Order: sequence, then C-alpha cells, then structure tokens
Amino acid sequence: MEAAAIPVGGARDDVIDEARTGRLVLWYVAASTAFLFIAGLLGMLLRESQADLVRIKPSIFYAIMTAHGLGAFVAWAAFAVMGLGFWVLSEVGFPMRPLGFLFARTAWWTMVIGVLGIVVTTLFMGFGASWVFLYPLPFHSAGDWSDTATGLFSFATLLVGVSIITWCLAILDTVTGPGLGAPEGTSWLKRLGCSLGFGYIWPRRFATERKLPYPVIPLAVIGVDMIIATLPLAALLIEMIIQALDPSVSIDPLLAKNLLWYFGHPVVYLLLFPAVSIFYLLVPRFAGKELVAGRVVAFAWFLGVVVNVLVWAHHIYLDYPEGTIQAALNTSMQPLTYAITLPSAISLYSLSATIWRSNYQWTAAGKFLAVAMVSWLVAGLQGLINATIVFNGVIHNTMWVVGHFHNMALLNIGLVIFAAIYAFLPKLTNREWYSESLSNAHLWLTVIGGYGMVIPMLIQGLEGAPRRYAVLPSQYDATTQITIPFVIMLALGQIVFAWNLIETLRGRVRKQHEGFGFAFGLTMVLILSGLVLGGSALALNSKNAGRTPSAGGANAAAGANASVGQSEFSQTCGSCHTLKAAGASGTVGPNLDQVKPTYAKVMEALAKGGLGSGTMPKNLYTGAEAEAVAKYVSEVAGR
Amino acid sequence: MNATAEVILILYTVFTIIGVALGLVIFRTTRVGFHIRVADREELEKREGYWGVTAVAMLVVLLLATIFSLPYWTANSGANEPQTIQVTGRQFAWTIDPPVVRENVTTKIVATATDVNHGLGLYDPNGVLIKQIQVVPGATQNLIVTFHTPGIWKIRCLEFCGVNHHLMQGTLRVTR
Repeated sequence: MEAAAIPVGGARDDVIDEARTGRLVLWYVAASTAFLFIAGLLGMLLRESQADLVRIKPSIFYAIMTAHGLGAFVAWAAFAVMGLGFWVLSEVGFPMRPLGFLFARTAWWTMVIGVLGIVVTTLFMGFGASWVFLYPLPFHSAGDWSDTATGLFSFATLLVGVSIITWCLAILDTVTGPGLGAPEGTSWLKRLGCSLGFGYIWPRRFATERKLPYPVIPLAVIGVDMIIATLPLAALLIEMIIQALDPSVSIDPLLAKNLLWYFGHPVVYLLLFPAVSIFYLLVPRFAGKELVAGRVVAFAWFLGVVVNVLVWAHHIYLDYPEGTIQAALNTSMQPLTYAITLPSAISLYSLSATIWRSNYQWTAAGKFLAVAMVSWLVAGLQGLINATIVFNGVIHNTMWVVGHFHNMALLNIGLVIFAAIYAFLPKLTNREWYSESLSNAHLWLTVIGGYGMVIPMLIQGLEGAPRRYAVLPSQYDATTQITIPFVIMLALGQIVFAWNLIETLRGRVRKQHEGFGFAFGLTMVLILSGLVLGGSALALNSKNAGRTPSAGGANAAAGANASVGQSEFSQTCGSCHTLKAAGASGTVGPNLDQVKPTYAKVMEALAKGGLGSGTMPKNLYTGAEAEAVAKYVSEVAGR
Repeated sequence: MNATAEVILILYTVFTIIGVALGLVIFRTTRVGFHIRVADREELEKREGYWGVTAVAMLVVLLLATIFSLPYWTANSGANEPQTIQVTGRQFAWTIDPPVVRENVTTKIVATATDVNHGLGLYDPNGVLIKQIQVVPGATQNLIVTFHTPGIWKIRCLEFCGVNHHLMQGTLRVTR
C-alpha cells in the first residue's frame, strides 16, 4: 500500500514534488504546535483559577476560556491534522497539484490570520462569549465587551471558516488527482466517488487501476462534509458582523443554535477523521502488514459521509420549546448519532486486527498510536452516553462534557498528532530525533497528566458540576484541586516535547543515556515534580485561604462568621449589585454603595422586584430571610 | 449523585474496563514468540463483518432501552399538571413564581428567558442535579418534575450566559 507510486511514473510538472509538499506540511506543524503551547498555557491558568490557586477575574476567565477553546481545538488540533493530512496523501501516492497547493497555502494564511484575530479580540478586547459564542450572547455582554469586539471576533472566526473550506478544496483536488489511477476521461464526480471508497462497494462502477489506499477515505469524507457544514456557520457569522454594524438586524436564537451546531458537530470530525487517516497509514507500517480491512469499512464511511451532516441536534437535546419541531428533530438524531459511531467501531476493529499477532514496533510513535487507540475507545463510549437523550439530561453542560472532549481531543487526536510528528519529522527535515527517551517521557507525562485531569472532570460532571463556571460551587473544590498536579505534569510533558523538538531542529542527536533506565528515571522524576509542585502550591494556597477571596470576590464574606444576610446577599444579589462589604461587584443593577438604601427600601425592592427598570425579579426573598438581607445591606452599604 | 448518573457510571465503567483489557490483550500478542502463529488474514477480514453486525445489534439494544422515556412528549403535551411554576431567566438572576411548592406533586415548570440562552438546572437540597432544560430567549419550554425532597432547592444556570454566569442562581422552597 505504501509503496504505491504515481501511476504514470517519473517526474511530472503537473504535480507538486514531495519536498515542496513536505515544506508546506512543516509550516502547518510549526504554526499549530506554537498555538498548542499558548492554548495549553491558557488552559492551565483556567484550571488553576478554578482550584483557587491563581484566582482570575471572571471577565478575564471567560475571555481566556474563549481563546483556550478555539485555540486548542481549532488552532492546534484541527490545524495540525489539516497539515498532516497532506503528508498522509503524499505518502500513499497522492501528490498535490498546483491548484490544490495554492488552496493549501491560502488555508494556512487565513487560519493564522483568523487565529491571531481571535487572540486579539478575546485577550485584548475582552470578548468572552465562549468558543460557541451562543447567539445572542455576543450582543448581550452586560458591559463586558463591545459590539465592535463581537464584530471583529465574528470576522476573525469567519476567516477560520474560510480556511477550513479552502483546505477542503485542497484535499478534494488532491484525492481526485492522478494518485487515484482512475481511467482517462472519468468525470470529476465519479473520481470523487472513487476517493470516498465507493470502489469497495461498487467495484465496476467506480473502478480504478489500483486499490484505493484506505487513508484516503476519511480525508475525502471530511473534505466533502466540512464544505457542507461550514457554509451555514459562515451565514451566521456574516449575520453577526452585520448586526455589529446595524443593531436593528437579528435572527431567531433557536435557528442560530441549530446553525452553530450544524457546524459544531462535523468540526469535531475535522479533527477525528484526518487522525483516522494517520492511524490507517501508520499502524500497518508499524505492524509490518497491510491494514486488515474489507468492504465493511467502506460501507461505514459511506454511512459516515452522509450521516455526519445530519446529527447536529444531539448538541441541543435539551432544547425543545413548545410549538417547534425541535423535539422531533432531536429524537431522530439519537439513532443517526449511533450510526455515526460505526466508522469508529469498524476502524478500531481493523486497527486492532492489524496489530493482532504482528511484529508491531513499539517505538515512541508506535506507543503514542496504541494509547491513542485506547483513548479513542474510552472517549467514544462517553460519546455514546452523550448521544443518548435520557443520559444527556444528566450530563449536559456539566464538567463531564469537558472531560469527554479533553479525552477525545487531547488523549486521542492529540496523541495521534504527536505520533505523526514523531514518525514524519525525520523525512520532512532530514534529521533524526534528538532523543527517543524524551519522546517516551513526553508520552507518559501526557497520558498520566491527561487522564489525571480528565477522570476527575468526568466524575465532577456526574456529580452535577456545571461547566463554564469561573468559580465552581464549593462542593466540587476537592476534585478540582486533585487535578492540579496532573495539569502541571501535562505541562511538563509539553516542555519535554518542545526541548526535544528544538534540539532536533538544531540538528543535534543524543547518543548517551538512551537506555530504558534513563527514560524511566526521567519520566518518574518529572511525574514526581508534577506531584510535588502541584501539591505544595495547593498546600501553600490553603494556608492563605482565609485571606484570599474564595469566589472572585462575591463569596468573600461567606466565612464561618458571616451573617445570614451577608451569605444570602452574596449568593443571590452579588451577581447584579456592587456592595464592597460583601465583595460583590455586579454591574447589572444599581451600585448599592452609592445608593445606600435604607432597611425599608431594601424590603420594598425585594418584594416589588426593584424600584427602577423592572429587571430585578419579584420576591427574591420573603419573611425572615428578606429581613436579614435588608438589615445587612442597610447596615453595610457605602462602607 | 443522580440515579441516572449512577447508571451511567456503572455502565461506562464496565464497558471501559472490558475495552481497555481487550486492548491490552491485543497489544500483548505482539510480543516476540506470540506472532509465530500468523493470524489468518481472510478470517480476520470476515470477522470485521461479524463485529459490524454485533456493534449494530448493541446500538439497537441501547436505542430500544432508552428512546421510549424521552422528556419531550409529556412536557409538550399541553396537559395541566397539579402544580405550575413560572421561571424566567435573565442575566444574572432567576424569577421563580411562586417560590414555594409542595413535595410529591407533579409539577410543571414553565421556563422562559428575556435576554440570552440560559440553562435551568434543578439541584435538590443535597446539591444533586435532578433535571435540567435549556431556556431559549423568546420561547417557552416546559419541564415536568416531582420534588421528592423537602427543603431549599437551587436553580443554577447551566448555559453560559456571560460574565456572572457562575453566580446566577435562584432558590425554591419545597414544603411537605
């Protein structure tokens, strides 16, 4: 399979030579890896803030959360596999052609500019509507960011969308090219069918000179689907740009939700499917035999290309307003979502059967792939739970979901990306890796750190911990803090990776200390450092617990001596009102330190639902609780 | 932990352990000495089909076991329940009317939002998430629930709604 060359043979001027493709792929790898380090650092800050180690202001927390999500998911993982996909195709004898090459370079530039735009609008302009920017939240920032920031963010994200579509065109141009070996005069659509693996299902109708290499199929599938899926998102983003300029324009929030998730599901597979291509290429190579696969896998991918764009509503299972068809739509999406698991289920079988009783090479890259396969199964089973409506009602928007996609994106797709970098870099750069021991340390730190972070997230989710909370309810504090040493291990792993990468690119090769002992010792030392660093930071921090605000200020007063009025105020009123004594800094309602209401005024406001705009709910407190809150506020306001 | 969450935890743990164990067995067969008996390629390819059928069968079982207890149809049936509460979400507070309900009575929560998407997450006095729905601005959505535990229940926002999302909660008193 790998030996396959361009059927016509010899140097051709209508295709791009391997060296140029390699340089292009290196640019994708370089940029995406740089984004990994930034996005990873931001993620570490978020978890440390939740663990009360470095407490970040909520407005900054949510801006970082927006940047981390898009940064890690799109700018690292998607961007990396987009580039590696071209190399997979090159290795199975599908050279790029000038048009596809132009598209691929355009996709690189639009991605980089788009991502930089996202960085500027989130980290410097405060846009913090989360990476799903659920409409109409971008236009209801409660004073946190401007409509200009929303407009610019939408434009930057639109560039990312354009990059994805352009990449799809580059992939489709390449998979329908001379590598396919389709007979002269075969129409473009028929060649596309061949590249999707239809030849395995209808051998005569989609005949090619050589058997289609399996790694081509997932790339062709996602190349088709991401064009279909990205266009509705582009429409939503253009609407948001227009609305930022002219506030009278708007669209229906439920429609916007559907448009977003119409893109939001397939974009997950923009990460997964190219990763599957890498599995299909590298696992047989390490096992020293062809991929064990027949027609069934082609059927599964045929199902995949169709169903992938018909499962979006499983992200909005809990939206079923009266008088809409959403409930029926959601119901139909459960079996369809089950169907989309089949390409994964069959692929895992094929890969396992390929490894079964083979002479598999347990190099660092080989180990990365094997662990990634296990993560694929482990995270895929979580996906089945998410896909089941009655289960979704429990875990939706909890930390379970955060655990699930870190399991899938970091510990499956991320490990595949690292495996591909370890496997491809020597050929791309003509340099051997600096150190295999460092690669092994990178693997185990990432896996142990990663699962040490993910498993507590999953458990927190099952216990109902909400996701996207700058400050989690205190019942989840212990489980949040457990993750900190592992988060640090994960970070140490990436430092090891960076060190190995830089030394390799400098042309160094480490000869000494390459035995098992060194690798094991180094890994253990770094794991222990993670535990000690994380543990001692938490211990030092808990000593200061009495002095640091434990809930971004708002719950500062919720100590042992706090009065009933004070704690009730912090819980219910602090999100909208500023009251310095309670550490509350809400800006939705009047600043109580300036208004200085009397006892009677507070009682009246609580009963009537405010004394002004009518935004405040009625009867927030009644009876003794109301009296306690009124007494507290009238006593401390302005002090 | 919610009863459904316990089911998830048990099912998930069992299947994950089986899966990981299978993976380790497969990886072990690559050790020197094991691959002397070369696996029959055709046999393995045939088994791909058997595995495909098995996977589909397991999915059908899971589908049949879960698809008939959806929350949608009773919530949107239009029937009146013995007890109704109106809940309105806005950045960053809930209006709950009336804020006091009786236990063990089927209750319809009629939820709306005035500004952005919110998530209505119902937590019992022990901090267990019992049920949740999304609340879309401009639309009305119902949640049917029976409160079995008397005391102070909390409604937490479970859809990101802006800078004070994590502080958005309301209280509901459930009386005997």
